Amino acid sequence: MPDIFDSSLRNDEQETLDHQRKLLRGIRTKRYAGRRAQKVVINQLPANESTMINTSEEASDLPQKHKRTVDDYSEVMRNERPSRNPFQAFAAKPFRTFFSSQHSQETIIVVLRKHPLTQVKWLVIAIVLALVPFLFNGISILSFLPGTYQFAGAIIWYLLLTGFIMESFLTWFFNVYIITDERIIDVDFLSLIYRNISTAKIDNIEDVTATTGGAVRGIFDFGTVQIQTAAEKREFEFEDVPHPNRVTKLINELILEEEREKIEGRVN
Amino acid sequence: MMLFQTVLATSAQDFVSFSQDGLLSLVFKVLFLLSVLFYCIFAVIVIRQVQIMKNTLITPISPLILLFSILHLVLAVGVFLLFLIIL
Repeated sequence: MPDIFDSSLRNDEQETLDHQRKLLRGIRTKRYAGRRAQKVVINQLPANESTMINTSEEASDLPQKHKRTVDDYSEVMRNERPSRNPFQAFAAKPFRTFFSSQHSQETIIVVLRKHPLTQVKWLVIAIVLALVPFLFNGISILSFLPGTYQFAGAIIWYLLLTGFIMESFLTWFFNVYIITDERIIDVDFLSLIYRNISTAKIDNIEDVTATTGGAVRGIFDFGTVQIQTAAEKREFEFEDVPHPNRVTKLINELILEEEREKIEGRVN
Repeated sequence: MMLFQTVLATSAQDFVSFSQDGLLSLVFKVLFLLSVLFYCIFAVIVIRQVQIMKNTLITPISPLILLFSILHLVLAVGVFLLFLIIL
């Protein structure tokens, strides 16, 4: 007779049954949570963005997961409040934030940008350039021109300054590093028309290293996170991101969760 | 403020000498207008860039950033029209 039917193994049988009940309860809870999350994602997207929900081939390539939420397995995220500030450099569980290749069951865990302190350089340059017409008023290179031309020259100066500020801001705001529960994504806008998006699955991450060098970086806790992967792009570098140790810990927790999912068979 | 004072103080004095060189004034006018025209083209490219960025990363303030880029273009076009009138 198989052991499972043997009444002398009562304790083990009870444990097996309890364990199975817990698993089933967990699976039902996750299915319900997954369906609710899917509805929330669909409802939050604007109507014209609905095409980003890949319901056919690309989504079916993803295994259907019975997933736990990030707060269940990540100590880092458990201590983080959802971020409603769109300008945050370390935006945990960001509000109403999506990216173009995001799958319907994929959740953004954190959106990273370069620390605001790294933008001080162009801010100072912008302030100095704004004061130049006033500082060098007496020695204007357009002094031989009539007043209207000098005025026009000043307008062009400030117009160019506006363009410089806009470009610097857009470069900082839209160059992001995204960590989801399935992938890491590096979005780079290198110039006006050049865009580079690299992704790697959490499964393919082999090594994560956080580097913080220098007094300023040490005081303000920002640095570089280097991620070695087995994907097409071998190395990801999250440059000058806030809390690099927290990011490293989060990625390690995600790797562990992926392995746990495989072992527990939550990935079909 | 000092800049405006410079404009007022020197405009009368320089107007006579500058207008005597009609060709020179025309050259500078064309240069200024071309500069602003190129800047308008740059502003259009910025709008396109913001649209691509907005479609890549969707945030709550993406529409606001697009609005600023459109206002930026309007400003550039406004400056071009202003230069057509005052120069």
